[in-house]
Amino acid sequence: MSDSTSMEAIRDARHRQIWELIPWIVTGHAAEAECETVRVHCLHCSNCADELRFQQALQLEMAKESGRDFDAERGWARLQRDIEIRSDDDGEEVLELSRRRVRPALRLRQVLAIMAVEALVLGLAGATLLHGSGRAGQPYQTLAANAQTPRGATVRLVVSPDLSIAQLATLLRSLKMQIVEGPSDLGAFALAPIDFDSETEAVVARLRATPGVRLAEPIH
Amino acid sequence: MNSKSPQQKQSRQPIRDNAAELLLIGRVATRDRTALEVLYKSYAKRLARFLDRVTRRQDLVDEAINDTFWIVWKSAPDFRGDSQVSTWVIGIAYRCTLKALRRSGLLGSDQIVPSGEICSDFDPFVDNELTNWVACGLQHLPVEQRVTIELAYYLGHSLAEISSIMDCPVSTVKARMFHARMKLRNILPRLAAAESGTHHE
Repeated sequence: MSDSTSMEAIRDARHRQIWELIPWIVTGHAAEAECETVRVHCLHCSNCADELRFQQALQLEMAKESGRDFDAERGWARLQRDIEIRSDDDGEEVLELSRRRVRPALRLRQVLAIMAVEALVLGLAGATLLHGSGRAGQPYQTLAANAQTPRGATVRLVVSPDLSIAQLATLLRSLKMQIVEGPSDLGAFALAPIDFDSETEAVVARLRATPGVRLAEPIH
Repeated sequence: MNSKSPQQKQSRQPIRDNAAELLLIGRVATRDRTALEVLYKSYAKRLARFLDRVTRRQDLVDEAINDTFWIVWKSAPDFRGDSQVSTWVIGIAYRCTLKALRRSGLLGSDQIVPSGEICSDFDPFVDNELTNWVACGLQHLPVEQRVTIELAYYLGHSLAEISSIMDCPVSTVKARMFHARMKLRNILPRLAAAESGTHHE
């Protein structure tokens, strides 16, 4: 059926009704009476019969399980880690904000929320990653505080102490990233792309999905 | 009549036990992580494939699934069972996906595949290429239309469920479905013939 023929056909109210029913016939959601209406109509309407056949073929292909496999175990591990990090009352807002650059115009409450999540991250990463003793009583610092961002650095990274240097090196190699500074006093590395083509968002997403990564965020 | 009779078929939506899922949600509401894990693992793979078809970006899929179940975790105490659990979860996933696409600058660009790219390299009569050919055709649809048809034909949701998931009137779902079908007829003209194994042109 050509496009113009289709359009002409469906202008008619009866054909339009049949057209609207076809997808739900194909998926098994239509009522028995609707199925019968379409069946009878298609006996003498080749246009609608063609459309029914086309949609049956399309649905058959689309219902197939195609596409990339998803590692549910890894995804679940990441979710658990995020629940740990985000489980404060303002969790969702903090999540959103931590993904974005902190703008000067942020409300105080939002800034405090960001500081809270950073403190939490540092708490998790802290005991072993940071220098172990003699820090009590020192003023609180955020990861970005006093940061002289090295030229070309696009990502800030904090890893778990369980992640070995070899694992970190392998991870960075796979992402075509390199450490250009760190670890800072607070345990953060600054990463820069080896390739100019690297997409920061994609790198951050991959890092966040990697077990052993405590924090990954773009440097703006 | 040229086509097969439109016999009423079993809905293609995988059978989900809503009562069992409601119990899980109840446990999640009490901060039971084992219940969340069961729910997560029962949805993750199929949801990931659905989102992969919509976004074609692994990083966005990972992000959207993670965000979805974070919201499920956080919002479970507020879920009143007004809809099926699956409709609620997929609705959250849909909104998280839109957010991820927007953040990546892909929403509003109308389509992920450039319009110049036509799916003509595939031979639809070679069976193992047919699915890829259809997938390529779908990438030419705007996101809202692609989601609508994937919700119907891949996840097997009804018209009312899709309306609830996408938070829009039934008439909007019908319109999106209609436009998606019209476009696909132009992009994949030989599909029906390929499926039946006979050239039809």
